[in-house]
Amino acid sequence: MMRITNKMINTNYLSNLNSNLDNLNNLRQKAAAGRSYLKASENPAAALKAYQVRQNLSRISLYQNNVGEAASIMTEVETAVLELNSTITSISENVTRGRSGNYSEQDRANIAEVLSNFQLELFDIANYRSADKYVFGGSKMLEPPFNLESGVLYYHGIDVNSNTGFDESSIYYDIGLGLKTTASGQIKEGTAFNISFPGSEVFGTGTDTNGLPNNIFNLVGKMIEAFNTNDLSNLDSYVDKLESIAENITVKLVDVGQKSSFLSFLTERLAGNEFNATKKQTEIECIDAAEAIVNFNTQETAYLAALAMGNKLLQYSLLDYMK
Amino acid sequence: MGSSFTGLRIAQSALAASQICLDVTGQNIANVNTKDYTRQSAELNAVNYNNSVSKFAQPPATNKGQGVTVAQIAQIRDKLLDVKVRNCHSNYNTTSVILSGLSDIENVFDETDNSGLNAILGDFYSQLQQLSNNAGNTGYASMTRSAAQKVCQVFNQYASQLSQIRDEQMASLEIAVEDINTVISKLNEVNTQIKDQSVRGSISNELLDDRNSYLDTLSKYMNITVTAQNDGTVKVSSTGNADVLDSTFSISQSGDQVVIQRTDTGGTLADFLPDEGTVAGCLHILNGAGTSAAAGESSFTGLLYYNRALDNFAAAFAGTFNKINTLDPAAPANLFTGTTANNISISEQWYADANYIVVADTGTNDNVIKMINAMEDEVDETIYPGITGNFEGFAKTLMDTIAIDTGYYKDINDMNKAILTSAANQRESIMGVLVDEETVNLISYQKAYQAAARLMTVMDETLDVLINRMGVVGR
Repeated sequence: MMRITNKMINTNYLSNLNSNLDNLNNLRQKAAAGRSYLKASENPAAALKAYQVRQNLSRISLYQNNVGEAASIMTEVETAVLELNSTITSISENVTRGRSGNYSEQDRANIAEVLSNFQLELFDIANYRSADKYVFGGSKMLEPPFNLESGVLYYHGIDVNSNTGFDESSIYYDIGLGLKTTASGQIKEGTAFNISFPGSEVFGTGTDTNGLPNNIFNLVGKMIEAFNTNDLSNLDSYVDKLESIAENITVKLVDVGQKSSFLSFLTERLAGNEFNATKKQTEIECIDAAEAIVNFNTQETAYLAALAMGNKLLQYSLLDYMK
Repeated sequence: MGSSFTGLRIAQSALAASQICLDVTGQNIANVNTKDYTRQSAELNAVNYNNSVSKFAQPPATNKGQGVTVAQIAQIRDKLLDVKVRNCHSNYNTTSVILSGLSDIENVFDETDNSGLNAILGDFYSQLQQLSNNAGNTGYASMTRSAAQKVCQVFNQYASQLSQIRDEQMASLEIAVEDINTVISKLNEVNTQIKDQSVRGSISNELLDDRNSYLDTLSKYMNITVTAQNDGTVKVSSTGNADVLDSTFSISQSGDQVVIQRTDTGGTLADFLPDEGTVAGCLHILNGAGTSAAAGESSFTGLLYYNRALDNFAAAFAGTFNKINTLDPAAPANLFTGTTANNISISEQWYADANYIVVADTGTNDNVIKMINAMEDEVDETIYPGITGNFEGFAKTLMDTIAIDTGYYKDINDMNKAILTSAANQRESIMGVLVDEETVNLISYQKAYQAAARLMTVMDETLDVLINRMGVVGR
């Protein structure tokens, strides 16, 4: 049997009391902070997961932000292209009207007037601006892409009738598709979202084999000229050209629509991911309030019991019972 | 036939012995709370009949004892338990110093309820994204710049916190070494006194207590082996058979490593690396280079590891972004200057002009995308050794490593503490004073004293009969 000496009782009692108090303090801090651990070393496995989840959450909110921005640009592009479409329809109607044989020269001049208003409208659409961005600015969205100088239309300084030299590079948004670059440092298509809709592609550049301008603004210019001079000999080919341009724009519209719906799909998925990650974070990092308080109370009882016991343990010795 | 006065002699020896026993009990009670006091007990021996005159004679059958004598005042102490307690002391102090060092480092890296390197890198990443979405906008460029500045500041802050921890560890190592030298000189002094007393015949128990107390203190600083010598002194040796009492210890620096040196009385200098104890713990924390350890360096994951990792990290971070920002290798356009965590900062050019960061190479925002990509991609270990994963990943790795190590040492330290407590209790159980026991002794020695006094009276009365009343018949 072990001898239990007075010093042993004192030391052990004090050290136990101290560790009780330490536990009590620890549990109080946890309950107050609402955390299941206060330092990563208390639960490295959980902390490791928690750091990962936190990064996920911050990425998700970043992607949500990027997807939101991309989606709002897509909406603006869609609006602009729809407007473009309806303007073309109106142009087409007016041209059809003006072609009919019973229109006088004056009437045709009026049509030319109407068409030149539409032409200006086209120019406005081409320089459509949402917030601080020109949606058809291509890779340079901060400056107006088109400008008109003495009747010649320029796209970022290049005459739209020239066949080459247009900057049709992309602007990529990272929306969580796993951004990758090629060995040469170029971004791999499909790993980021391209929000660039170069006006050169939408409105057309260069001339076709028949010498007709691919650009709708310039084509309408030709039509206006035809009506002004009352020379409708080439109008048929103009109208055909307008139709093919309109078709091209419809394709663009579908393209934008697809992109928009992809973005809204992503928005939903990201919201789901965010919910899951937040839930996970709560599970890992947060402590159940009821559990925290029960733990604290249990420990408090243990501490009080230890205090009460010390009173009994340390007070008496054989001397108290000697005569 | 014994002498007539034998009884008186026996009674007198009993009185004297009880007196001594009472005094020893008094000493024990007086020292019930004295630190490192060892319980004493008077060893009583019965005195036997020994008559050298009757060497060749047949001893009488009525041969009886001659009373009691106090052989020695012994210390009740178990040497094996001393060894055990001192080993436990060394082990516990190793882990407790390591734990406190690691906890300090953990406080630097831990981001459980505050934001540090990982969060700031995440911020920088978000700002790059914003810049990429708003290419050409100076406002976003300058926000990116301030995020980068914060990253640099966090590197600087971590580096300065680590160097502060290093200073603290060095200070505690210096104090330990100073203390060791003091304890050694005290031990040598006690050894000399004990040797003197030993020559004169008896060694005082209190002096032995002193020596044990010093040895206990020394065992906190290093692992020791105590060997008793014939002249009553002890020899203390540590790792590598180093004769501790023959040495003076000092601290010196060799490259990145802190070294403890030992000078013996002959003046010879040698490196000293104890296996356990405060000194070993401090050296682990200070010198531990972890995975970056070169030959001859400690592979413990300590301060040196984190220092180097942070420096590599800062260099890789600065290098990677400088490289992307430089379109023409002939004309470097550096975003960051500095190659260590301590001196990394954003370059003067960038500081002067937020748009110094190259957003576009061939496209609109393709260069920023490359930077974003560089945050996502694994760092090329062939260019920047020691960095695993991407930047944020590596920051996490550092946090994980320190958290896991700290957690591990917390457990080990708790275990060592429990073992130490149990060993110390075992020792205390043998050498400690128990008041109840001393009270019982007090009563029994008092009774013995009273009985011896009564014996004296009985002898007195017996002799009175013999001398005064014998042969007086009919007088």
